[in-house]
Amino acid sequence: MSVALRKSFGDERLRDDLERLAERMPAGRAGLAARRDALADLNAAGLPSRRSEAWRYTDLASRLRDLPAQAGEPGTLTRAALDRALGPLAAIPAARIVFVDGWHVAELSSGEGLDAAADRIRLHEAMPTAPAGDDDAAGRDGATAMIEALATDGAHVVLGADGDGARAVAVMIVSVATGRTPARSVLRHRVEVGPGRNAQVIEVVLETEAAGGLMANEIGIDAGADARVEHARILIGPLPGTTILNARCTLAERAQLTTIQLAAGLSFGRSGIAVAFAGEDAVYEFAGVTLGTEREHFDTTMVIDHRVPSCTSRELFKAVLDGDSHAVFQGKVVVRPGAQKTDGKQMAQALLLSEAAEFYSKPELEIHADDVVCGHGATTGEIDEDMLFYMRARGIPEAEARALLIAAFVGEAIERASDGPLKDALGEIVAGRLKAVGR
Amino acid sequence: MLEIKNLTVAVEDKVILRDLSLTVPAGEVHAIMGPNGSGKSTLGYALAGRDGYEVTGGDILWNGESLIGMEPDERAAAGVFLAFQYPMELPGVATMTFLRTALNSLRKKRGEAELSTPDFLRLVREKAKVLEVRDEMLKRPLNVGFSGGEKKRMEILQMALLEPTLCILDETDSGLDIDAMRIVAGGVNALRAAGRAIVVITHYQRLLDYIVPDRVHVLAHGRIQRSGGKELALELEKSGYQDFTGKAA
Repeated sequence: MSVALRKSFGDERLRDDLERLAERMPAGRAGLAARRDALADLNAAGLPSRRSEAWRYTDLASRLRDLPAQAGEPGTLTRAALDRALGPLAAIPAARIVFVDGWHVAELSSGEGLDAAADRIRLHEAMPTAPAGDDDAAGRDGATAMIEALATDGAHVVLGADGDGARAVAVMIVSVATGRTPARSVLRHRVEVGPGRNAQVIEVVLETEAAGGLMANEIGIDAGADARVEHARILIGPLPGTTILNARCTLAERAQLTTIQLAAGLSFGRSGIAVAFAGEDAVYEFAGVTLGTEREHFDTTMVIDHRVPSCTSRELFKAVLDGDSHAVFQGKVVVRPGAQKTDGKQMAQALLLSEAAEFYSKPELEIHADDVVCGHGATTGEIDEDMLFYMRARGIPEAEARALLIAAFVGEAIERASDGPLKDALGEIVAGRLKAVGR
Repeated sequence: MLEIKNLTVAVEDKVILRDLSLTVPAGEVHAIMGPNGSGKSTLGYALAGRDGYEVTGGDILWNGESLIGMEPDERAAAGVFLAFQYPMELPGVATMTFLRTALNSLRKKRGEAELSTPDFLRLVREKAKVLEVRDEMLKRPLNVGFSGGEKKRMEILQMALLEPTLCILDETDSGLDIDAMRIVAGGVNALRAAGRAIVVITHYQRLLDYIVPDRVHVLAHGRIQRSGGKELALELEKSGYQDFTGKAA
């Protein structure tokens, strides 16, 4: 089976795609050789399947037996339609970089809030190689090779240094699929946050027509020394296709990076997040919420690589699952030899609203240093009937009481976002979603 | 008027209350006393409509309307309020959100308009002050990190805010020191009114020094064994429940 699969990805159509689109793709014709190499890697490795530990619960090879076609042009999308699709996120003041069906659309983008002297956004250029390097604990798999081979566009955002963190900036990178037929949208982004800079990087993935193709994005985020970066990864369903997101983050000394992830309404999705500490006394925090209904599947797989001493990592994952939905949280924490005084903690919790919903949680600690504090925990449960009765005895109808309890459960993760428009929007999206999930 | 008629209640197929009858007229305070395991808390839960407390016989009427078959929130809308022996902690649910949701849910069911934010805040502050519930407590998630006494004061605050007509206090005195008991009793006494019936479930007589009942009933073996005036409580304090515990059901 794997042979046939490899063959299907090495077919002439993909090669033709590369030739046809080469002029418009990052690095143009000059990048073609690298893309062919990546395509060869993809063909050699195949798409990741459950045989790979990192993809154990999300068998991409079985899901994607064929790659949807690449649209040659972005579909029509007005600013009003985009704002409608963004919902509460539209109100966040941020520079917007918008990609429609895999292509950057300047008319929908803006440089709001950017510092003209210090900040740059480049498009259609070769994305620098993944910052984590060859000995990357997260590894390079077929999905990464696929993104490298087929990315049609991407943003390279460079945010200048700042003395005192006073020049806060927010950048929203939006990937929209509008296709009425399944199509693919593959993008590679990189955001470099200069030393001392205070930045929000908001990744948004959505579909306006819910056609169900492939959306695959990779983002590299480099937080410079003393930078404070809040990274939001927001997947707003219905996303009926296959959604694969990768993030590779590096933190320089004393950098603080927080990822807030909200995934709701994904038929089949995976968020892979690799974090590498490159400088001491840096802090990485992850707070993720997955809301699932029906037969939805969403996988969050993280690798936190403590390469240097005295860094702190925290992961809090919350899933609320109804119907036959599945959520996955795999959190691997690697403490390299010499990474003393590492402080790593992880908690994964699921609230199951139905008999058929399933939560797979797999913590993994790989510790090669002796003076470290690492811990993990996981809980899975149903809504507490005693709490429910207590609330109902005060006159709160059952549906509302359930919604309040679910919101409280999820709220603990959303609370990790810094106060402001982003947090307000996340709260609003969750509240809207819970109306459906809480019955 | 609360009329409990020949009530039989089973929990997990075990009969806890059998053929219990009790009448509490509006405007009165009745105490239910009894030994541990006599079914006192079961009576409270059966009145509030808790799942798993199965009424296998008899009826409960509040102002002529049967509560049997009504959901807990419907009973609350009909005026029923149970002050819990062990109030639940609700992590992540802000106290003010909880109070406001409860109050507005009841107002909605009663066909009244929702309270505006300023009106709601004014009302909560006014009631909280009497019960010495500090602002700091109101800012926390409901009951999370509260002491036993604080939780009981929060129960009475909810009662004062929601203004039920049938109040059931389940062992509200447990875990209270004398000062807290005085505050809580003050809150309950302030709610004594012509249209309101109050049922005080307690093991000890001491709460009844502060909330003086019109009638006292002894519950043992799942039914009312004896009823009398407030002096019955004092008598029980002296003699204990041994006269009742030995008796086979």
